[in-house]
Amino acid sequence: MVEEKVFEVFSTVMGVPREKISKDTSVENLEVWDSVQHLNLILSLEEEFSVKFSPEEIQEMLSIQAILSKINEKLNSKILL
Amino acid sequence: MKEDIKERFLKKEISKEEFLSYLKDLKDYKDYLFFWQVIKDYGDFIKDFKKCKVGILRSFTLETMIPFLKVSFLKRNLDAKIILGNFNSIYQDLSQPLEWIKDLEFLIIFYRMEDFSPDLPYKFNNMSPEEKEKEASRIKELLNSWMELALKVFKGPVFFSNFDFPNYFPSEYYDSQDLNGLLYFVNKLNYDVLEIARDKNIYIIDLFKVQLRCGLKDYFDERMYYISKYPFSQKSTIMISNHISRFLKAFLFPPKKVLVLDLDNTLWGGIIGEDGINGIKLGPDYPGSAYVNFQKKILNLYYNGVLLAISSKNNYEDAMDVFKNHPNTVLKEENFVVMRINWDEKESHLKEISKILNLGTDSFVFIDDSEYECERIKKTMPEVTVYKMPKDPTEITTFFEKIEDFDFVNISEEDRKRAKMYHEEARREELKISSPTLEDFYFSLKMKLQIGSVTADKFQRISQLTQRTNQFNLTTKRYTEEDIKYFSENEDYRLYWARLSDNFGDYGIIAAAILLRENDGFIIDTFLLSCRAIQRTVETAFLAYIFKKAKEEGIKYIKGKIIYTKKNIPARDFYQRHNFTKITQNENEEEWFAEVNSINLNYPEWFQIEEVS
Repeated sequence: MVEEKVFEVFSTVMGVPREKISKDTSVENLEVWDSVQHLNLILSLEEEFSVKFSPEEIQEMLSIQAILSKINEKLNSKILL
Repeated sequence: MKEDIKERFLKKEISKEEFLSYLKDLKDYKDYLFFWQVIKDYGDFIKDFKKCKVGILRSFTLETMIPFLKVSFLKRNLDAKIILGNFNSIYQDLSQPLEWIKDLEFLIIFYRMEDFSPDLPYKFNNMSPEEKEKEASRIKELLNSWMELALKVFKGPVFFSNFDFPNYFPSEYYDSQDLNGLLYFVNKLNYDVLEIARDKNIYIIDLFKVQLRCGLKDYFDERMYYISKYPFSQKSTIMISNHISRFLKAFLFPPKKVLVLDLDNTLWGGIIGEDGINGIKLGPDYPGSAYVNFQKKILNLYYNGVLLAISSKNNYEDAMDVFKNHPNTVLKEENFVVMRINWDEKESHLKEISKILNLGTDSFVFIDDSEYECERIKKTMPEVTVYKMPKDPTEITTFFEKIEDFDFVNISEEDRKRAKMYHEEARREELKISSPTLEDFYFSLKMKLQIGSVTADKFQRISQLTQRTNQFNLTTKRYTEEDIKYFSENEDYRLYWARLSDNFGDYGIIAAAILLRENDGFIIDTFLLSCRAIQRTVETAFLAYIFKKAKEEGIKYIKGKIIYTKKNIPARDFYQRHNFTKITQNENEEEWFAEVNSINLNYPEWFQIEEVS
């Protein structure tokens, strides 16, 4: 569920069709994923999941893998609280 | 946004209707971004949108807001090009000036307290009242100089932002009690800046109000400010963008003129025909209170000059009972310019209202609780703006806030008077519709006509009439006040005016005639009637006065031309109707003649005439 939502937000913000994205997608292999788009992506994910990322975390989330793991971490800590 | 529609957008498999509907409904941060990206492939769907160039000079990072501004304008059918000035170079950009400023439609100057006075909130408690005053003056002087510069380099509408409240209170409770506190300081500064701006006819982008609506905690994104010096959150970015585009739209599109309202489950809860006057929900308790509040908001629109009308399928007496006798009704009969309460279709109602007011249905807004009626009007009269009243009374406030069609930027005495005139004219039209013959109608109007020779206090109005009257104007000669003054001082000219009032109101001076004496004849140089006063036989009475004056002076004949224009077709049968004889004719004009003693022209019986000397 979280995974699908992340892909959806990603696809929307980057303007890239769903089939072009996978768990391996990162700033290294997707040209349109530049620094401006990166911030756009982070802000959109924050709105979608009602979470907030620190400047350090933003710098770490440079691949779909990293994003998924960070978001799950945030959501789990919310539940635990 | 549904996965499917987004994929179809990317594949360009979207119809124009879907495109526009999606544009209207989008509201998430990511959807704004998405739309901004795909818009470049949909140029022909927006080619009919009004184009405008919006320049923003700024003291902070604004690049992040551009997609949201662009989409907010598109939502309002505006294709705006947003151009940013250099970073924190407002003074330089204005003094150079940047060469693209002169080509703009709108110029916005956008700055924040942080950029003027970054330490202010933190050292505020350590400042003396004099130091605070000095700081306020410094800021005001700077803004004043920017305003003067802006007006020098740009001739269109200029907008300055006001100050939102900083993200820090020097003390949690003390500041709110302190007449010299930061809260008071920012409010007073905004008030003073408003005074300076309005004096120069500069408009204010009210960030303070947006912040209020947003909530201070949700307004800032401190972290984004640290990263990129962009202060706003996702929520405030969207709110500010919409605030700006909604504001600028009001300059480009005039407000709608008429609000047509349904009655049942719109102005009150329930159905008057079934629940009776004691059963409908309108009063201090919920849900009646929601409808009372709604009526108060509608009444405010009335005060703003909006014409209110009713279109309801009901028994007339049942509905009027509410406006006349219900103790909690806020709206009364006199607030409505036309009421159509019968079992005809709403489409007929709207057409009749349009005819009576002589206003196109493209200036109408229609609110109804029935899905069926709304869809019907949307289909049969697409030029009407339609809103469906929410079923849930708690949603009424949010619903009403979204209606932008009556936004106005300035309101004048003229506007208020105009609404009053529409009310009076509507009553006359209704009377005409219900009169068995035209003569009955004329009699029942109880018209009074004051006629006299033009004196100095009337020069301006007469000149204005010659400038503005196009339809009932025989020769369409335009005269300045000086011209009128000249005629009045010249003994060969006769200048006459007429003022009309009736049972429903005063029209003011609505007719003018300029005659030139030529031996023992009069030449009618100008004879005109304001379009408010046509089809009431005023021209006959006015001409009768001229004949009377002619006889008194021993004038033997009267001559006059009709000079053809595209607009004066309504005036072309004037001489013929009054039994003049045509003496010349060519492709541009015709000339008519009458012997004063051969035509017996009297004042029509339905006028009360007062000849003013």
